[in-house]
Amino acid sequence: MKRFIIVVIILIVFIISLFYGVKKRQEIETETVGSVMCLSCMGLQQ
Amino acid sequence: MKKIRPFRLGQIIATIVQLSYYPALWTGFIYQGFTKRFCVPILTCWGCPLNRFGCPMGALQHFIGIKQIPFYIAGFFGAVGILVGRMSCAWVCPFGLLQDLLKKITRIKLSLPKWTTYTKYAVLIGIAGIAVYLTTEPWFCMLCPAGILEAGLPIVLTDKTGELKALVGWLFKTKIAILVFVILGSIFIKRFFCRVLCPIGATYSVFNRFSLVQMSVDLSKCGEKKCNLCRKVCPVDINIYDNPNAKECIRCLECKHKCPKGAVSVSLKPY
Repeated sequence: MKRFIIVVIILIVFIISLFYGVKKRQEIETETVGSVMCLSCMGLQQ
Repeated sequence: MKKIRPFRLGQIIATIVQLSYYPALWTGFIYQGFTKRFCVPILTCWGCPLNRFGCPMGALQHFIGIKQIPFYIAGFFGAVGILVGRMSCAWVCPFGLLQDLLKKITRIKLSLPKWTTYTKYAVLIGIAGIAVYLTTEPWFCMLCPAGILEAGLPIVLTDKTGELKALVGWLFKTKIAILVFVILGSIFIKRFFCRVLCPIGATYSVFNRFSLVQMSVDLSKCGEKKCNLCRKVCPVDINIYDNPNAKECIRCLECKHKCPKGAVSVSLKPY
């Protein structure tokens, strides 16, 4: 039971981290970076 | 008619949903909608024109490269890992589906030495972490076989203007070589890439022991002479009865479905 509570606390920490990232607009930045043609992903070089 | 296995159905549906931006086929532009902000918990290239979702490893490297703490993506990895461990590797990963299909080409099965399974942690820390921090280049993306398969090859092969073909160089050839290596490995070794090289699998594998979804085996039901059917059907070639929550277990639940004695079980109440 004690271990279960620790796991739930860790889960809450990760969820808080996720929402803090959203507050810092990191998900918008993720969308922006993912919406441009990624030359590195394709293995192309300029 | 052969019944389709539940995790295979999950893989197929997930692949269709993820790679569903069909206008890219005639416009040539990649998807730029709001769902790109949501990462999927598996290896998929966001440079793929058909992909509607974000790549968690690409996003992680972006924030490491710009020297920001990746709260969003770390929280995402951690939450998924704590909830289900490596389950997403089996149920929703298109690259996992590809490897499973490649393994069907031959019955020849090669085993991996155990030390090779630690390579993926070196890839995660060294290539997707330290190298990115020091050089600000997304090194894992530059070497990722999913990127060349889903994005590089289709885009370069369908390039009518020749602008992108002109950018093909040593990096493109290196990625092709890595893809060929992974394909050959996957033909002879079960889930070769997942077990040896995948940094996303490496991240989730750490959580397998602690996740809320837990596997367990009732050894008394197995009996003294084990049938080993679970090992035969296991896509990552592990003995589930040795350690039901081993780091390599991708929780496809094939062992649970195939066990004739019902010795394998899965629960949401781990402790």
